Amino acid sequence: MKIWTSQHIFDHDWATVATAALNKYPNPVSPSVIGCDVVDRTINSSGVIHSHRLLLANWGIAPALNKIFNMNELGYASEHSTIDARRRVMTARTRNLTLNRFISIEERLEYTEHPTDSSKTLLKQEATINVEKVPLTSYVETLVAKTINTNATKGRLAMEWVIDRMRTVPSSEPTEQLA
Amino acid sequence: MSSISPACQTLKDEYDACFNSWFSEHYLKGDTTADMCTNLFKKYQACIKEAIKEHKITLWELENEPTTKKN
Repeated sequence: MKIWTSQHIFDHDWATVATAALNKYPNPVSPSVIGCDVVDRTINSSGVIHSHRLLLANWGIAPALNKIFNMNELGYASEHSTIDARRRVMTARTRNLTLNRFISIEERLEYTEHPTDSSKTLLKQEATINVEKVPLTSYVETLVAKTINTNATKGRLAMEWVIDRMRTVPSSEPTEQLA
Repeated sequence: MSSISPACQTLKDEYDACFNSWFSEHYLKGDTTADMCTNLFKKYQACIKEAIKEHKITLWELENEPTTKKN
């Protein structure tokens, strides 16, 4: 198992970041997610929104991994998220569904209001990787960790792109539309 | 954003627009009553569940996780 963690501060308030996270796809910075559907969504008595989304992504993985797993590059993933507007916390856990007998990647994100500056938002990211039944296990885990790191950087840039677009496009236009 | 199923695209677009509007105009302002999009969501969800069956996708459900607690 390999664990990767990262922290980041967005220079935007939590409501803006949570809205951007919900509308992150599609974006030109990290074009990997090509399909997204809400499988289930509920709001509990404490006002916390629980969502389960199904994502279809082009994994964009390194060619070396492509050869080992002998797969096309599309895969499904499940994302479970919670949004708590009262506590200013949003969490998301995403796991691959495709190929999960061989490799399991779970990514956890937590967006919280900065404890001393409410105009900022903290992001904590963590990924756990388990590889089984394929050769060169630790080599594959390291390669996957590098891919996650690259994608995480792109993911943060994607959030900035979405936030920027939210501010320049009139709110009556759907944010999903792209030229 | 595309739906995983073209058949559900219109239902998805209608629901997403409703949800996004409710989220920013009501939820983030402290109003957590969630009736606004219920009917749209039911139609969209039924379509997606059908597509999931057709594609034979096995989802990851949190109820299967013994270590997860739902708040």
